[in-house]
Amino acid sequence: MSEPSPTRTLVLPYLVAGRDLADAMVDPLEPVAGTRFVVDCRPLATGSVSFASQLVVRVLDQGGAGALVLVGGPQEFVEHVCGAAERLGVADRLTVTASDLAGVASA
Amino acid sequence: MRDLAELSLTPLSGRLVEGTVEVDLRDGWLQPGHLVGVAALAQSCASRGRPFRLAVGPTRTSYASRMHLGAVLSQLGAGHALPPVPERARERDLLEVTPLVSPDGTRRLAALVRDKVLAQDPEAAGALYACLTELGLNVQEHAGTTGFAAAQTLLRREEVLFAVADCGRGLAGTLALRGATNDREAVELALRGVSRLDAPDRGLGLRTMVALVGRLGGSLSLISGGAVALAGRAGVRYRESRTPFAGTLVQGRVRLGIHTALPRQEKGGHWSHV
Repeated sequence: MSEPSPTRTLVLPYLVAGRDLADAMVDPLEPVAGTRFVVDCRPLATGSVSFASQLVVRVLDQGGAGALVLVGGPQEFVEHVCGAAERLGVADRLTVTASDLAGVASA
Repeated sequence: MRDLAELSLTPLSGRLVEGTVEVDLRDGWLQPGHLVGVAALAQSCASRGRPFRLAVGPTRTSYASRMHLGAVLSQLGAGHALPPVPERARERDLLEVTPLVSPDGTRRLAALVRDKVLAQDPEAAGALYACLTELGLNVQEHAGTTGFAAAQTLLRREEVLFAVADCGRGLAGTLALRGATNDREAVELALRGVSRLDAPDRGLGLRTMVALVGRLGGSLSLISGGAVALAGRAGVRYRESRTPFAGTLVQGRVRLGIHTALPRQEKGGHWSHV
């Protein structure tokens, strides 16, 4: 049996925008390579496309996380994240779920 | 309400009068785009040590003053005859002319605008936050100078106008290395999502904004140098300005309330370039 991947959890605030903010939020959670990176989007009301893109870049594209899991969140933000993952060729490591965080983290 | 790109751009060009750069706003309508454009021009002159003066007709004075253009110009050492206005309720003035001094400051301003529209239209409020942050943060990342933002509600028309301007490098300057040889080509590249940066997945902001305001029944005017673009439901129309704006100016128009009656799948889509 292999060891389960370590989990990093990022809870987004009410509003997020800008690549610099995504960097600032991911930086303290480094290194993310090989982790299951869970983003709790349930508190989020609005997230910009640039923030979503940089989140995918930092976690999956450059960061090399094993998985990026979005929990909840506005449809538009989820679409931004999915679009970025498609463009960057990392969509196979993205999971979107509406389920509760505890269930996702222990999955 | 005509979009900024439909209006005469003559007032947004400075002319040299006895050693002073003068912008004449005595004729025509004033919108937030004009105000931030003037502030950006004044900022540019101040940074170069060139005197700047604004002329405004009596019928426009009240609006320009109310939107704090006079206060901004005074801080920049620019000449003007805009009187100070007493503070009072300004529900329609979502955001007076305000410098974008930092990324966090830009996010705070956008959140304030969002909060003021939230009760009337949550979807439009979210779009305004996204657009203002994308535009403001773009200025800080690419223009190399201070930008200005303003927003206003037109209650009777149930519309919001928002604008961001800077007199930095301009799109032609930033996209020359992507093959832009003039302002028109640079504006086209920007609207297609081309970025000057090699970093992955860049250049999304403007393209996403066009789709966003279109879904809300609005439009986006983009002016950079001598190129003018109006992105609306029918696509993007381009034209040249005889009086170039020495920087980049974007004004968006978003209608409030109408999209709540439209199912999501009928609202979106990508606009073609025509």
